Amino acid sequence: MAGSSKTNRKKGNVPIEHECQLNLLPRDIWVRIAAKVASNSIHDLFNMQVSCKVFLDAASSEAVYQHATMRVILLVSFLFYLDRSKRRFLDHCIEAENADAILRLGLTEYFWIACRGIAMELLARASTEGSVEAGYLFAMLLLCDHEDEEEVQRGVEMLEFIRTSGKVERCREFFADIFWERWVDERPSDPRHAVACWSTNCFTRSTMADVNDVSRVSCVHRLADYNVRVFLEMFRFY
Amino acid sequence: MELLCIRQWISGLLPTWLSAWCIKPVGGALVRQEPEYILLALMGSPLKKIMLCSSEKEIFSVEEQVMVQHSVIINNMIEDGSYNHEESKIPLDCVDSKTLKKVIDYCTHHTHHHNDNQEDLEAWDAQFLNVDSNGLYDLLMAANYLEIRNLLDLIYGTIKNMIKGKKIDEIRRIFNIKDHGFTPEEEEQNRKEYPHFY
Repeated sequence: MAGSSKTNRKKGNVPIEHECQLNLLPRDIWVRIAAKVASNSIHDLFNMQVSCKVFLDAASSEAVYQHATMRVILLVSFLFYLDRSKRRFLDHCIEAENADAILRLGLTEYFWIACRGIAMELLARASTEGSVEAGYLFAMLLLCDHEDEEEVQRGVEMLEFIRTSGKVERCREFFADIFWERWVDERPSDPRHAVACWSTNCFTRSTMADVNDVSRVSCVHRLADYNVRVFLEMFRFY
Repeated sequence: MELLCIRQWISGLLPTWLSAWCIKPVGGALVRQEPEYILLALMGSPLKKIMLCSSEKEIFSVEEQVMVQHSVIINNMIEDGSYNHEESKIPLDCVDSKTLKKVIDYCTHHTHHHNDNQEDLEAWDAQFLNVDSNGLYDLLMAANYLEIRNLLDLIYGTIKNMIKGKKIDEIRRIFNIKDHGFTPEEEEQNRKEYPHFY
């Protein structure tokens, strides 16, 4: 791209061919372009970084890492086997609070490294940064692990928020892709009984299996238990 | 002067709550528009013009509404009163005539055709950006200077596509990067780390 401003052509004795013409554009323009590149493909971002120092500087900024797509980063267990450049890239994204990168690290910590505490912190962080999928997984794990009533209630409330925004199905599909026929070293607890709904008056309690249209179920606690069952069915073991 | 008196007369007649309903897009955001301007437009009054002056001192007369809708800089100048319609030109020393004409074409088209279907608008945009790399660069500088958000996003997307799927040597050729700035050792390290990117 060999553009140059009228002003620069007029002044100075520096031959044009020895200037870096990319410097004629403000850095923040290249940062915005790099962010767009990163949100589409990290391979393109790597190529941009290695093309020249001006691009490397712009494409290494926090704004770029924050919005970079994780689509081509292999998920969960394969995080162990990432090459150096991808691993470094992922670390930068996590530092820049990229929600998707934090989610992926949280998944690895829970299901493959078995560090529940760290994993739950990461998932909560990713959820705060805007990852709906992280919020869903966090809610499911709170309900599965059901350590105390407060955590269960928190799980119910988070799930209800996601459910009323119509994103549960999208989250299920996201994790079904991850866990389908993939061995996990640490699986969530299966409570084998209702965790959220303890009401003996709840008329759907004994009929959840027969309910074809859950939109007709009004008890949010029952719905939470139902969603936990669906979530646990994603885990297949050899 | 006549238009100013008419505007003041209308302004006096309108209830203040009407202002809340009058919004316009400016640089991608929605801002409140004086209702009297909207009413004047509806009444078919002659649209106000402003004068833009390129780096080559060529004057371009443009509908005020067109530039105000798209350029945050020009909108701010009109709103804070620093532009006097009777006497002033807006000097754009960073923008040459050819580029300024293209910018005005873009803003005019998107003002008058904003209700066209998306496909037609995208086709027009693609044709609009069918320029050489110098021209694209100059448009980018002008859009950045005038803070025309829609045009900036369009050009960012185009440059993103220029990089998409290209290897490093191709990117260097497209952007005419003669001096990439890496030392021979750094370049060697890059080639070792990303051999398939070259």
